[in-house]
Amino acid sequence: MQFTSLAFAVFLPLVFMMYWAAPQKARIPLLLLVSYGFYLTLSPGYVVLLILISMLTYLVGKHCNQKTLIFGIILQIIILAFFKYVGLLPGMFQNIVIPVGISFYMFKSISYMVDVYQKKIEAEEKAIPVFLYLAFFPDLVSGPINRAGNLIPQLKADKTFDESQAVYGMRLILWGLFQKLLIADTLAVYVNRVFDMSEAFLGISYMIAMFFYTIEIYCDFAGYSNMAIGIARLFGITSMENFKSPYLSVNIQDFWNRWHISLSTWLKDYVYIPLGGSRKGKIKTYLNLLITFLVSGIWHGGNLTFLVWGLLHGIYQVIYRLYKKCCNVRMPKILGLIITFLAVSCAWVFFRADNVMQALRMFRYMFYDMDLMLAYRKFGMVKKDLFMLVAAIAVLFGFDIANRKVDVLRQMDRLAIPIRYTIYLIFSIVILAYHIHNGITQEFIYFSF
Amino acid sequence: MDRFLFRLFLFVFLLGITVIPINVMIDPYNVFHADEIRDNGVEPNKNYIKTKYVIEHQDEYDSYLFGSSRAGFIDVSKLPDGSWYNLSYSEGVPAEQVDTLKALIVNGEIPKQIYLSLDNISYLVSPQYHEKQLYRKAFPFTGSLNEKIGFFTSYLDTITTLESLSVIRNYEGDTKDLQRRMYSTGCEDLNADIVFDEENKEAYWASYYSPRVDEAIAEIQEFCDICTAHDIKLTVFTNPMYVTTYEKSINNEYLVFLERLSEVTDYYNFSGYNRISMDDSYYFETSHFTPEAADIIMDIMLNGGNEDEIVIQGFGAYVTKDNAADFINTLKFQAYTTGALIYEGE
Repeated sequence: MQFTSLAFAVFLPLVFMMYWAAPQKARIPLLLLVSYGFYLTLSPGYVVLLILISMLTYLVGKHCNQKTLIFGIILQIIILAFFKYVGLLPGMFQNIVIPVGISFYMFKSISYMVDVYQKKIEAEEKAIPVFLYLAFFPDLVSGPINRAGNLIPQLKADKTFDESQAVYGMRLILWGLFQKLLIADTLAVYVNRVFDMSEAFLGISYMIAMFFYTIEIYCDFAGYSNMAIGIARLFGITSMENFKSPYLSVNIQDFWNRWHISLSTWLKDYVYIPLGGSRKGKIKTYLNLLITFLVSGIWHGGNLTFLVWGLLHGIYQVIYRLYKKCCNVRMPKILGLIITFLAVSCAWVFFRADNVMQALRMFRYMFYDMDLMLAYRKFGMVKKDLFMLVAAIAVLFGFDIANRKVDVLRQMDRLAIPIRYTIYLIFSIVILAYHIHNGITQEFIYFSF
Repeated sequence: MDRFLFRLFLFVFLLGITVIPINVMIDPYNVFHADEIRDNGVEPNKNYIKTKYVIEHQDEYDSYLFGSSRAGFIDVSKLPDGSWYNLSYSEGVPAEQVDTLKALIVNGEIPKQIYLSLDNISYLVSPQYHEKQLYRKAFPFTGSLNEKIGFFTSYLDTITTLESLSVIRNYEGDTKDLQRRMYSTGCEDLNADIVFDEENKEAYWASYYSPRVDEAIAEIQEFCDICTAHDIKLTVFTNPMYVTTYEKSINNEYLVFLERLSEVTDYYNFSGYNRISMDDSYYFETSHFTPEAADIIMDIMLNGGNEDEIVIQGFGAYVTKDNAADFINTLKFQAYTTGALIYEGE
């Protein structure tokens, strides 16, 4: 049951009404039950694993010392590595399916155990809040990787219905649907065409596919995150922000403060800083950066392309640090923005490609044939799709630019009700019209991580 | 909370009244008007409409003709021993015909007999190509709520509905005649006044045609198995394709298809170089044969054909596993003689 499915459109209102109608004491068990039910529709064979990891997390937290912590972390890394990389082995192992959300809930589990050990938070006396922390259905599948210190107190707190929170949540959901259904799913059709049959394309087609994928993955993942955060708001929960206009970053360091923030902060707190961070000299800092981004690549999967992608970002970080140290020349922001966007886009080619050779081939022939009209015809794109995409992407970047200064969705409170409803209606009608017209619902990209 | 819920329901209501009425009223594919189909210039979803009609009028019919639109000009009212309905529709392919048959059976209608018409479309068109085409979407046969909702929701396609207005506004149709045909025999207009265009004899061919013989044969096998399981008398035949379309098809595995077909079912053959396929007067264009041609092939299936034509041309031949090799050689020999196929030695 995906967020964009009809079944979820029935599931969510029912759960919402049950939650707010239930007495305070019943809300946590209700949410937990509902979360397991939600997970059953996605990964029925692995609910038991989720429960076992939750039990492990709770028990390590209750009896937290160095040995239990190391045991808890290593056991989960082994399980995670098994599911992520066993598919690389020949034979029957290739049929083993990765449990949905495993990368996300295991990272939440590790962060809980470490935070308890480091006494940043108290271990939970009762098991249910820990179980719900890991299984909370809005962020269970693809994040954000909320910290226990943020989420568990909110889950346990007595809450009354806050209309402004709920309205804000609905706006986030609508914005997320706009990003996912209108932009990401439409771009995916053309991106898949090029990457799935890359040898039938050349030149500028590769360049267009690269930029299309750059926007697709942003809208897909940020769209999902916005929906997840919006859904959590309906239950009075404030999730951590996951994306902050990342393609308006003026350097690669800025980019990672704005892209998949819950993962990048997790890696900083639980990999980079324990390795020594930037406290042990220049060389060690650069090495720690490379290792951290390699871990990020490995986290995504066993394909060499993810490793290369992670390594590239590590190298970008090192280059940027060297540039900051060596060059006193302040780069104009617009130049920094362009360079960062191009660097990130190039790395996405490896992320999306089936293998490293395919990615390298695309770069090799990217400037081979610059016939834009031929590329347009080969893409099979129709004019109305092109106009819609241009308009939607313009709205996307307009929103992101405005959102750097003010919370655009919050500012909508200042508009008169008829204007607000007109905006909601226009967005909803356009999203619905194109979604039904294209008849395509692509699985969320981060579903498989 | 009450205010929030009220505003939410109001919004959903406003969204609903903006999207639903326009699509239901205009309904270019007649899915919401399946019981009162209108001739509006847009190809209706006959797959859905016809299947729905026969399921709701089970007492009136017990025998069916399945096929692509080429079988649409076969006058089923002339067929004996049953109450017939023509279930053909645009580019109907075996996988969809299996679904239609299952839909009938699941809804309590077990046919007494079936004619199944096949030709190059049967193995050149992938059913997946049709999945997103609103005028070909299948009747949601399991009847699950999810399937029905998904089916009807796909017709709330405001963009397509608005685009269809340019066709609908400029078209003058004959709704009465369309309704008469759809709600009686299901046949196309047997009095259509279309003259074959002598300037255009090119093979009828779509860019998405791609041989998938194995898959098509498996689908036809499934159709045959369902008929056997339910004691349905099944007669399979191949259509008389216009000569240029036939020639292009035999260069795209059509003879392979015919040979493989004999392994799963016996069938009557009307493909090849014969007195129908080489006579323009029996065609509207290079795809659809006329009702007169249809009468001829039906007569042969019911009363037997001409021995010479069967032996020399394979026209009207009853092909079985035992004689398939000889039959295919007959067609190959014809094709070598005309140069449509190049002889490369055995």
